[in-house]
Amino acid sequence: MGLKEYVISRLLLTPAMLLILLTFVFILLRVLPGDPITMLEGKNIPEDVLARRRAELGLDKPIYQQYFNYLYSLLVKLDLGQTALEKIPVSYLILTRLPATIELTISSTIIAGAIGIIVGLLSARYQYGKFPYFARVYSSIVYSIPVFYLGLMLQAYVAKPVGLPTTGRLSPINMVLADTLPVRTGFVFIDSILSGRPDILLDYLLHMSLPSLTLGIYLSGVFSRVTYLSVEDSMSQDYTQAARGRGLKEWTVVKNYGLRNALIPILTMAGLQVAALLGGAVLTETTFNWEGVGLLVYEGILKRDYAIVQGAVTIYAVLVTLVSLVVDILYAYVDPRVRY
Amino acid sequence: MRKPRTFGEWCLLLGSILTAATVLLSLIGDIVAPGNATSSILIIDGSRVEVPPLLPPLSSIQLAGKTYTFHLGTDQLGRDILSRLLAGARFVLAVAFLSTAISSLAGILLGLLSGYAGGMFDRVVSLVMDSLYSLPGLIVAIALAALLGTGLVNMSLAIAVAYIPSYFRMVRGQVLSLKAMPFVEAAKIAGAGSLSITLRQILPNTFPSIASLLPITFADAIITEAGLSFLGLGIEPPTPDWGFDLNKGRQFFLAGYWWIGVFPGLAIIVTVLGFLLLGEGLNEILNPKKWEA
Amino acid sequence: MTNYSDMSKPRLNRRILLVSVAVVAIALAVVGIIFLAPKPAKYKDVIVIGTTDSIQTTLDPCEAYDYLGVNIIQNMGEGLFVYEPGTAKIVNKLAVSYTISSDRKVWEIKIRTDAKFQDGTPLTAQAVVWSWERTIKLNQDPAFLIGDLIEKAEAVSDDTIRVYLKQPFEETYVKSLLATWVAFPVNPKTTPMDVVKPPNTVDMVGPYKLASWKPGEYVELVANPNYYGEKPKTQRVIIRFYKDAQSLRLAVENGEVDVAFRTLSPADIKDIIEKGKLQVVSGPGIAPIRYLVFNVNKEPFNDKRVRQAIAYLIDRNPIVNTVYMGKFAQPLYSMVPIGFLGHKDSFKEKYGDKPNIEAAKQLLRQAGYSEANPLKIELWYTPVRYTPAEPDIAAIIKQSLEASGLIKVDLKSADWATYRSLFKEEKIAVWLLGWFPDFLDSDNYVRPFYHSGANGWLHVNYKNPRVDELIDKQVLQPTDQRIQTLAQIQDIVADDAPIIPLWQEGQFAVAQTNVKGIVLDYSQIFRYYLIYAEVAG
Repeated sequence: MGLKEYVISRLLLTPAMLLILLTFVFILLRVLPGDPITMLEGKNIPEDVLARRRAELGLDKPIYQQYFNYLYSLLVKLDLGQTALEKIPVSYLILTRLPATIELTISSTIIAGAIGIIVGLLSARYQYGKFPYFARVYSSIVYSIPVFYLGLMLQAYVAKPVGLPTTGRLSPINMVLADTLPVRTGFVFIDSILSGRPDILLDYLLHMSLPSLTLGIYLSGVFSRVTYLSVEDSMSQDYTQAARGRGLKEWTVVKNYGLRNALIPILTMAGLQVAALLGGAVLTETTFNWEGVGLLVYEGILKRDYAIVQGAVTIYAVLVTLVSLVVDILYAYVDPRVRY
Repeated sequence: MRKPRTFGEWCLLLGSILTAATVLLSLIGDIVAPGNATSSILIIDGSRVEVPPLLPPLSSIQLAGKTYTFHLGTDQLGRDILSRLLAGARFVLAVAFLSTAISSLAGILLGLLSGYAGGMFDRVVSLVMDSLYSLPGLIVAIALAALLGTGLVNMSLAIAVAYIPSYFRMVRGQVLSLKAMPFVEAAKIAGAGSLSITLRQILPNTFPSIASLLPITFADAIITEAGLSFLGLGIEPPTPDWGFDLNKGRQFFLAGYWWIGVFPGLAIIVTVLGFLLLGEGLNEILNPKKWEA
Repeated sequence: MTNYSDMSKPRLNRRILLVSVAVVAIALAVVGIIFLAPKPAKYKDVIVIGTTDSIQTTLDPCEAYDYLGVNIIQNMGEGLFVYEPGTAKIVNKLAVSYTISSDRKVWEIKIRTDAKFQDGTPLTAQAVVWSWERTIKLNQDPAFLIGDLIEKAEAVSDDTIRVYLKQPFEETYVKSLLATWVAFPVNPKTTPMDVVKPPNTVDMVGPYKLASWKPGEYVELVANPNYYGEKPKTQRVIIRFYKDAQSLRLAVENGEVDVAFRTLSPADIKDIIEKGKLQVVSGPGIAPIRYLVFNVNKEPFNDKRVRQAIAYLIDRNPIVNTVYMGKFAQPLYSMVPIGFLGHKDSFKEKYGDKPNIEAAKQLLRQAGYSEANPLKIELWYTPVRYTPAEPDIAAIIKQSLEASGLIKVDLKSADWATYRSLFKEEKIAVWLLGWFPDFLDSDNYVRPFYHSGANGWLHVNYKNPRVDELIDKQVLQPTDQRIQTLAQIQDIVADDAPIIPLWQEGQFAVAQTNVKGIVLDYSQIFRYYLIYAEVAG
C-alpha cells in the first residue's frame, strides 16, 4: 500500500470513530440519573417553571429524537450549543479554557521531555555502568507518586514558604487586565509579550512554574523510560557498532545514531502524552486552580450539563484523532512495514 | 537463595517483597490494626471512650486510666491513623486487583476474538476500542463512577473500562503477527480447529507482553482509585481507604495536620512502586535483552 | 597664575550660602507640609474578593436564585426596602414612606425622587411597576416570591406605587419579600422582555455596575457614577471564583485576594486565627441550615417512635465541636433558625441537647426492635454540595445512632444530581439536606417543610392538617400573635419529627489586615460597597 492510500484509509476511519465516540458519550450522559435542571432543584421553584425549563432544553422529547437533534446540531450545523443553566455558548467556554490546558500541556511536556531525554541519553551513554539502574528506579518512583499528592507537597513545602503563587494562571487583578490587552489570543505567554507587558509575563511564569513542574516531573518517568529503551535499541543496531568501529567518540555515537533513530518513538510518546493531557488533567487543574478544559468536563458531568461534556469531548476527540493521525503518518512514512 | 545478580533480579526481589507485604496487609490488616480505625470510640474495659481528634504522631494520652500511644496520630474524627493505614490496604488492593482482572480478561478475550476472526467483526470492534481509547481515562472513570455509585465492584468496573483497550490492542497486534507464522500454518494443515489454534498456539505467546502490562495497570488502578476518592467518588465512610484519607489529608494539610494525608500517600507510593518493580523484574526475566552482559 | 577664583570666592561663597540656605529652607518647608499636614487617606483602587461559590444561572434578578449570583445583584441594585447593615432590621431604601390600608390588602409606597439608573434615567414608580410585571411575566425560578404576593401594582404618580396584595399578609412578611432581589427595579429603557444572558446584566439602581464577567473565572464591578447614594470607597471590585477551599486559602495567604468569603474549612480558619497574620471576621449564619429528612411514607420511618428515637440519639455536639472546631457552627434545635421571628428551641426542650440513649432504646423496643433484631437504616448524604466534611458528619451521625446498640447504619452517598433524583423518586428514606432561605422570614423556614400543600420538592410527605392551619394563619397575623402561632408549630413538628434540624454554620470572612468595612449580619448579604482598604501615602 502506498503512503497516499494509507493516509486516505486512515482519514476515512476518523468520522466513523467520531460517531461512535459521540454516541457513547450521549448514552453515558443520558443514563446518569438526573438532568441539567436537577441542579436547580432543592429550592422552592414551582413545578411548572422546572417543566418549562426542561422543555426549553428539549428534554421532554423522546430519547431517539434528542439523539438525532444532538447529532444534527453537532455534525451538520456545527453548533455546540450553550450551557443549560448559564446559557453561555459552549464553543466560547471551551475556546477560553483551551489555551490554559494547552499551555499546561506544552510546558509540562517540555519539562518532562527535557528531564526524560537527558536521563535516557545518560543511561545510553553509560549503559554498562550504574546509571541505567538509577534511571529506571527514578522512572518507577516518579510514576508511583499520585500527581495531586506531589502537587500538594510542592505547594506546601516549596511554594508557600517562598511566596510563590500557585493558584490560577495569573493574580486576579492581572487576570482582568489580561482580558483587556490589545493582543488577546488567550495564550497569556503570547499576549503579554506582544502587548509589551513584562509584568504580566512575569506573574504568569511565576504562577505556572509549579503546576508545570508537578506534571512535568510526574511524566518524566514515562519519557525517560521510552528514551532509554529506544536509544538502547538503536544503539544495539549494526550501524551503531559500525560507527564505533570507525572510531567515533561515544557521545557522538549516542547523539547521531542512538538519539536520532530513537526520535520517532519519543515523538510518538510525546504525541500520546499531549493527547492524554489535553483531556485528563483534572486532578492537576483542581490542585492548582488551573482553569482548563479538564475541570470543565468534570464539572459538566457533575452538573449533568450535556452540552459542555459533549462539546468538550467532541473537540477533544477531534484533536486526539488529528494528533494520532499525524503520528501514524510519520510512523508510516519512516517504516513502510506499518502500512500493511 | 543466592544474592540477586542483575538489576532485573533486584527489581524482582524488592518488588515481590513489597507486593507480598501489601497483599498480606490487605488480608490481615484490620485484624492486626491496634486501634480504632473506623470510629472514634475505643472500648476500654467495657466502657466507651472518645479518642481526641487531630493528635500528632507519637502522642501518648491517658484514657480511662491507661496510657495509649497513637504512633501515627489521629485523624480529624479521632480515629487512629496507623490502624487506618493497615486496614486501608484491603480496599485499595481489592479495587486494583478486581479492575486489573476485569480489564485484562475483557481486553484479552476481545483481542483474541477480533484478531483471529478478522473481517467486519474485527473492523467494528477495533473501531469501538479505538474510540474508547481516545477518551480520557479519568473522565470515563468519573462518569461510570457517578453512574454506578460507590462500592467495591462498581468502582472496579468504572476504572477497568478505561484499560480494556490497552490489552485489546496489544493482544490483537500479537495475534495478527502470529497468525502468519509458520507454526500456525502447520497446525492448520495438521487439522487443528481455530479455537484450538487460538488457545494453544497463539495465546501462550502473548503471555510475556501481558505479564509486563499487568503490573502497570495495577499501579495505575491504585492511583485512579485515589484520584476518584480525591474527587469525592470513592468509598463510603468509615471504611478505611488510602485514597479517601489522602483526600481528607489534603483538606487539613495547610492547617498543619500533615499526618492525615502524608502516611496514606506514602503507603500508596510504596505499594505502587512495589508493583512497578515487580513488573520491571518480570520484564527483564521474560524479555531478556540481546546484548546483556 | 592669577588668583581670580581666590578673589571672587568670598562673594561667590556668600551667594552660594544664601542660595543654599534658601533651598534648604524651602525643602524643609515642603517636607514639613508633606509630613505634618493631615493627609487625605487613600483607598485601594481595587479589592479582590475570593470565593468558592459560583454563579449558577445568570445575573438577571428575575432569574438568579443561587447565593453568589444573588449577592452580586445585591451590590449592583437595591429595592424599596433593604436590610440595615449590621442588624436584622428592614429599613426603607428606595421607599421613603408607606401606608397600609385597614384591611391590610393595599399598600401605598412613596419612593425617592433623586434615584437614577446607571445610564442616568430617573427612577419612577412606573419603572418599579414595569420591573415587577416583567418578573412575573417571564416567570423564572424565583418569580413566585413576588408572584404569590402581589395581585396587582400600579403607579398612581411618578413617585407613588399602589400595591394590591393577594392576601392581607403581615407587615414584616411583605417587607421581607419586597426586599428580595426579585423586586429590584430595572431600567425599562434598556431591559428587554427576556432573560439577560452572560456576560451582561440589567441596569439597576445601586452602588456598583457590571464592568466585565468571564464566566467561571471572575466578575468585575466598577462604581456607578450615577448612584444617588454614598459612593463606595473602593472603585473596582473583582470577585474571583476558586475551585476549592485550599486554593482560596493559598490565594488569600499570599496576598492575591483581599477578602476570602465562603467558604474556607474550619480547620483552615482556626489555623489562620492562630497564625494571626490575617483578620477573621465572623457573623451569624443561616445559609445553609442543615437537617435530616425522613420520607414519612417509607418504612420504618412511618413509625413516629422511630423518628423520635433518632431525635433522642442524634448528637449535635461532636459535629459542632469536631468538624466545626467548636467555633464555626451552632447546634440548631428548630427549623426556624436563631434570630428569626418566633424562634423556639423546641427540639432541645423535647429531646435535650445531649443524646438520651435510654429514652431512645425504650421507643425502639416499643417499635419492636432489639439487639437481635436491630433497626437497619441506609443514611444518605451528598459529598460535594454542602461541605467537604460531609462524609465525616455522616460518620459521626452513624456513630451516635449506633451507640444505642439497637440501630445499624449503612452510609451511602451520591453526587447531587443522582441524590436529588433518588429522593425525588422516593427511592431513599432518610437523607441529609441543607436549606438556603429565599427571603428572610420565618415563613420560609416553616412552610416549605411542613405544609402539605407546599411545593413538595422535599418529598417528606408530612401531612398534619393542624400544622397546615397554623402555618396559613401565622402569615396573616399581627406580629405578637404570629410569634405565638409559630411557637405552637415548632412544638408540634418537634414532636412529630419528620425533619430533624441539626446545625447552622456561621459566616466567616478572612481578610488582609488593612481591609475594613466587612459586615456580616443576618441578612447574609456580603456588601462589597462597604469594604475598603486604606493605603498609606
